[in-house]
Amino acid sequence: MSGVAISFELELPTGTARPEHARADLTFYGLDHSGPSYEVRVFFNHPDADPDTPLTPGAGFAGSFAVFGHGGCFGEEGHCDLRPPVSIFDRRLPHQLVPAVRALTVTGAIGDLMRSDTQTVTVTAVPVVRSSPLARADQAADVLVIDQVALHTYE
Amino acid sequence: MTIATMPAQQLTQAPLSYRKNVAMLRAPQLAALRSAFTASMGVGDDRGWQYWAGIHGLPLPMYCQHHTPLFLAWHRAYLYYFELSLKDFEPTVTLPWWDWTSAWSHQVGVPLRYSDAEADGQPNPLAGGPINALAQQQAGPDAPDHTSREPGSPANLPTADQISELLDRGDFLDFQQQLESYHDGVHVWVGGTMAEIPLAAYDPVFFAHHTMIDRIWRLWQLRHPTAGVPDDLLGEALPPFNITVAQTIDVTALGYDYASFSSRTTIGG
Repeated sequence: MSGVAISFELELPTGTARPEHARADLTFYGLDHSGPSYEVRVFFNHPDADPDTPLTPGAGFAGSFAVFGHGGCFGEEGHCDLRPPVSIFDRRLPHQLVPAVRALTVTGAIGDLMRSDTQTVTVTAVPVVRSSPLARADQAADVLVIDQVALHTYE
Repeated sequence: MTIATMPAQQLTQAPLSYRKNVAMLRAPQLAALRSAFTASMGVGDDRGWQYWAGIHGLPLPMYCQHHTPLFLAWHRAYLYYFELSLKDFEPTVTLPWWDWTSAWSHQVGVPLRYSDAEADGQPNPLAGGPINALAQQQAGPDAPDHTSREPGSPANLPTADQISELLDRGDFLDFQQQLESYHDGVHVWVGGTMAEIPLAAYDPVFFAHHTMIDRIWRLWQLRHPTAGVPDDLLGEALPPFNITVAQTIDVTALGYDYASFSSRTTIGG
């Protein structure tokens, strides 16, 4: 099962902000984990990438990460709606479906792009859902939700 | 009904329990582990498997903490209390870790001790577990009554180099977030019910996987003795357990540690 891929442009460091880096992370914010577990395969400059695209540098594959999902809602209507704290005195733990953050280390792939003097990169995130007892195709279709992505490099 | 009163023996000066690599367990240790799991699976009340596995996921409420700053502390508490429940059946038992970075794991995947269908002519309790009837009911008509696995290619498990780089990170939240990412990857790699938060803990390999995660946190703590969990998290409770984040920081205060090798000899007394 696979979901809908998401592609976007990302600026690379330029000029003096472009020193040799020891580590580069792509950080994905706002990942949904209310549905089935899924893998996110990340490709550079391959906007047509899909679950069958080879996981090789030649195909632009930069790496992957997984998100352990809650598998759906098992309560009554509204059970899995995110609830904010009702006041500053609300000592309950945060809602379990607060979106997740994941960082993918892409040091080598970003280094290759920067050495080629590229200014931007097209990032394509391809969700892949493996079959499992509770995973349903309709859940898998829209499994990937991303709020923001940031590139951080470290000298 | 008979109510037995147990003497409070051996509660003072108790030595630490040492959790070990599952690949290094000697035959009696492995037998004790299997005996404890079998006994736990044979008890239907809140001393047994169905209760403890259900705390993590279904039946509701799901107590586990994922994708939150309490991920490591909550699961440390969970392992601690579950291990105590196993000790009620086998006092010497400790939870072993599955080193999914090892060369052997990158050849065979799930340890054979957790995948062989039988052990000593008996069903191997570490190969899978039954799923709580109420959990099945809440999970819906397709819910299984027993765990399953569909492992990926062993070469795709996290590597020792990745964990070595992770242990160098000096900020707890950065470390925890990346460790949870590797953790998620192994859950999805095992596949089947291990890939689903509601049912994952019904698989005994869940505990070997999480003991590895807890061990990596312990190794990180030893490497970064002045770094740690942010102060604003320390007072948080970890329901349903009667313990706070602060009380999970020192594993020796919880009575255990990790060893790649350990032996003990009783001299006198």
